[in-house]
Amino acid sequence: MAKISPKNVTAQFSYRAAGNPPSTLPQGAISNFFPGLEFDLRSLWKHIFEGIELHESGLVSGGHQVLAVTPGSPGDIAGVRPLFRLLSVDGRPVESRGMSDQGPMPERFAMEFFNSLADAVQKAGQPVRCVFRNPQNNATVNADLVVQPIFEGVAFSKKLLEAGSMTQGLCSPWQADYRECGCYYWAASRPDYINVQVVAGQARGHNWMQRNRGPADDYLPDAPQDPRQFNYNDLYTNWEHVLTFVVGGKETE
Amino acid sequence: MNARFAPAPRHPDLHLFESGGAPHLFLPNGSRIFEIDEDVVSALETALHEGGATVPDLLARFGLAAPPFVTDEVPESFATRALSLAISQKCNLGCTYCYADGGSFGEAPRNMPHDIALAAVDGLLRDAGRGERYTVAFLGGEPLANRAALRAAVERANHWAERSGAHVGFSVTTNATLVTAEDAAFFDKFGFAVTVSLDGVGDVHDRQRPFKGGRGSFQRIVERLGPLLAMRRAQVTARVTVTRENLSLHETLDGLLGLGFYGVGFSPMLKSPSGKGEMAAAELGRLLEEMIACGHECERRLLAGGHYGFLNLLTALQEIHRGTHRPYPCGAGAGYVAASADGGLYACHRFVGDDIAAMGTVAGGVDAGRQSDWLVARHVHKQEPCRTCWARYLCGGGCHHEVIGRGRVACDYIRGWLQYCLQAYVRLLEARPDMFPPGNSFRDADALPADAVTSQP
Repeated sequence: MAKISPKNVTAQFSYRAAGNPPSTLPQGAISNFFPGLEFDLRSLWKHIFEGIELHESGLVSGGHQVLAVTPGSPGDIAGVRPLFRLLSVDGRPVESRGMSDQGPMPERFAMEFFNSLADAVQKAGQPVRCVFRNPQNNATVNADLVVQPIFEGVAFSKKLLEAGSMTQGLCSPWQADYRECGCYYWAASRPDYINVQVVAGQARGHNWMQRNRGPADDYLPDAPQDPRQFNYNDLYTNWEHVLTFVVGGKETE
Repeated sequence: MNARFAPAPRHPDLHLFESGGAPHLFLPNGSRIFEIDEDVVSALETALHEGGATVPDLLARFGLAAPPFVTDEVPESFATRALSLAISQKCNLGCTYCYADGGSFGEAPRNMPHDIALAAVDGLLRDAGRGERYTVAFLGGEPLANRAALRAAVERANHWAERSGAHVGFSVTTNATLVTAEDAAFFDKFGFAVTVSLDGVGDVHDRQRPFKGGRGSFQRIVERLGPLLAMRRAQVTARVTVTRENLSLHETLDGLLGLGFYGVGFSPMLKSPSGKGEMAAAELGRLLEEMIACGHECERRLLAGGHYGFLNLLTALQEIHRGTHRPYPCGAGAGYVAASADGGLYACHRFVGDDIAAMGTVAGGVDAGRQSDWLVARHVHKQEPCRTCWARYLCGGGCHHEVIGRGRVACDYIRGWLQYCLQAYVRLLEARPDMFPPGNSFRDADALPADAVTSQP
């Protein structure tokens, strides 16, 4: 096998080493990191501050929750304790609030919430002012925590991540995402509204997840608990029989 | 040197070089560097001998293909992020080669009026956003011949910065003959990057940079450097214009570093208004030898764990490590424009007063049409023979002012220097990995001037 060793930064991040899949290159990446088809960056943010472990899963109202504090660390000395919530980093708010149906909200939620710690990467090696809230009495605690460098060369730091941790939170099993992610959310289009026919200006068709897809069956809005639709168990144990190929929008045998 | 590892261009998509006894591959697309073995070298050599048509397929087979890092697409416009003010278009020196033709750019000597300086700063910063970064540079002529306007412009820039939350950095290029302790304190207070033009030590400098009356300026400069070199916030660098008269670079480098400069950068004189001092091809060969000798000394010092302020190499190492790939040699006419004393805007400070690179006016802002035309015309993909040269994205096509005025006379020098820098990078990456920390910053390159690898201020 030819020996090729990338040296500088651009060479390292654009070189596809033998055995690596195409998605390991920036130009081949799906770039879906949460909930994630390739990596889950939440695993990285958990350890972004020295001495503090954050709990990053779930869209929990109130934001980043402290999972553990290293005894004797600056956070511990400042009085940060497990279950505290991180409100702001270096003067920038990072908390999340509940979603609302009252239109656009200034608060962060969902993807923005998890991305909110990304700015801290620029301060690697430096202390930044972190403000925490004690949920028991709503008192705030300030702690100057050092931002851990997330890179070693062009790779993620092994100090922050154990092997496998960038993928442990991904959609698993993949069939679950076929149930969860409708409306062409999948990078490779997942069938959604199929067998569509337009008659007199009205569209009729089926949800790919509904059991009965005859001419008289109307579209069922997506609902995993609806017995007329495939449930998770159907997909986990019998996907090859319940899921059909859809070509050109029409179901095929 | 083995012909297959010579700096001459052989194929637009690759360049082979040797470092530390091992063959290396430089791919212009993304300025990527790989160590390779003899099997890969043989395969590439065969493809080159057969005319080179199969090179792209071969690179793909080795996992080295990548989408174009630099495309033909030309940005339609650029927001101005750096502005220089020809705050004084007059000078007390009479340098033999001055691009500003004695400081006045061929016109009557004059200072930039306060209102034009302030209007130029207002135009740059009025709509600045929080966190955005801007640079205001003062050039001339000799900027300190108009220090009142310089200070007023700095104060106005800081007013906008405080109001918007933008970050504004300042720089000045001075001959240092007029600098006072108060000037140094002012530069220090506002964190200026200060560049002093010095062409050597003693007589070497005086031959090229005398006062207008003919008297040498070196002694005066040395007398005035103390407060500048004692500045705490800013690092002061020296810039040396190289002609056939001051080619002993190592001596100059050690001499100027010995005076206390943080770093020294060399730029060959390639285009002067009268043609005087312009270096010929044979002299550029000598320059390359001198530059490489300074480079070896710098490597030796770095390997010993020290600092050695040979800025040409330190800057190149930083850019090579990042894989810098540029469609233009610098920001001139793009994110950077220069204001003349009478309120014209030009692609850069060297083009002040030259209609070929006019970019609008301080009052009316950057002329979008002229900027677009400039960006289309100056893209390295439009330049010859750059399109077939392996160094095109490191060099960017060469300084616009020199190329438009004289043509591409320094390509062999530039390739030779870049090849040496690639080799030095590979050696230092191996021996001093601590110099290239995680991420893409470079530990010994703090506060370096923003010069491109080959262009000059």
